[in-house]
Amino acid sequence: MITHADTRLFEWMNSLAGKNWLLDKFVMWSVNDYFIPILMTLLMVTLWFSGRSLPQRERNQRVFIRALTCMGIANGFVKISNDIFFRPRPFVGHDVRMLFYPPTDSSFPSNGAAVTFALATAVFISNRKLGSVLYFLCLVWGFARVTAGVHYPFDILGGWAFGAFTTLFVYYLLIYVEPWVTLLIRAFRRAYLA
Amino acid sequence: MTGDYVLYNFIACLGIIQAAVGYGGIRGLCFFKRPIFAYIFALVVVSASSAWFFTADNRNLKGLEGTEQFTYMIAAAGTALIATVALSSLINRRIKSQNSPTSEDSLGPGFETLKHMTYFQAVKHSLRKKRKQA
Repeated sequence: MITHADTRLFEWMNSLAGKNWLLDKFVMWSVNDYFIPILMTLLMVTLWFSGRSLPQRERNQRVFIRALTCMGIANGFVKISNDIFFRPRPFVGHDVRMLFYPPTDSSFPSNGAAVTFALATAVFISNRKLGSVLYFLCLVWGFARVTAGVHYPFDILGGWAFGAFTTLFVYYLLIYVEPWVTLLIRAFRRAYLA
Repeated sequence: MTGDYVLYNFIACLGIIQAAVGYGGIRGLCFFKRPIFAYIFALVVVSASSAWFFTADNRNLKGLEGTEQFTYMIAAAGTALIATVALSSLINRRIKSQNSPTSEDSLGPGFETLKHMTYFQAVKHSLRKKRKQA
């Protein structure tokens, strides 16, 4: 039932490809492995340096370190999941209009969706404005990945669930993580880099 | 591909760091006296490097893996930071005589110090302080 709904939704979204030149360009621009991840990383770099006062900057830097930690752990969870469960990509067994190269790793959960959503959630908890921008970028990337024929919609939703779960997990363990974050910030500060 | 990716990230990070330090008032790391020039620099550098990276080649082909991307991104950002530190220290080498607070205690930690002096001056200042204490 869920697989059927997933396939139908995928077919509908993928049917949008190849119909409108502008939409195709937008999808091809957004779907690649670089555009949105780099944009997100640049926003994270600004987070490290921004803040007009010391407490504000320290808060931003804490968010930066926590978000990177969540990203790394989410990536690890997806790798473990891929070792246990393999879902073929949509273009295996379906007639798909591809706007991207055909990847060979497991389709579920989307690694990109998990990692970016973990990052966005970690930022959103402390910084609503920047977090919302990152969530929007996650949404665009997810839409582009499905429309381009790389993922089923549930792969993206699964990735987002993995990402959100990881961040909540890290925040639940924050009491153990925080002393390391403080230590790291102090070390950078001593070197005039924080 | 790897070279393009690292170069793009390096240039984009250089620009974005300028915008952020301009906004935060960290004068010791700024290439420009007025923040508006830092924002313009960031806009030009990030736009130009993005245009070059995405139009120079087809980026929708299989390229770098996620972990490789992350590693190269960190390397590029680190190099951009080193370049920022070195360049800003050279450009602002006269900053201290005009702007540093008279009392040593009024210098804050980390980036707060760089609001009043360059990175190299801060390191020198810190080493001198340690030598005095010893």
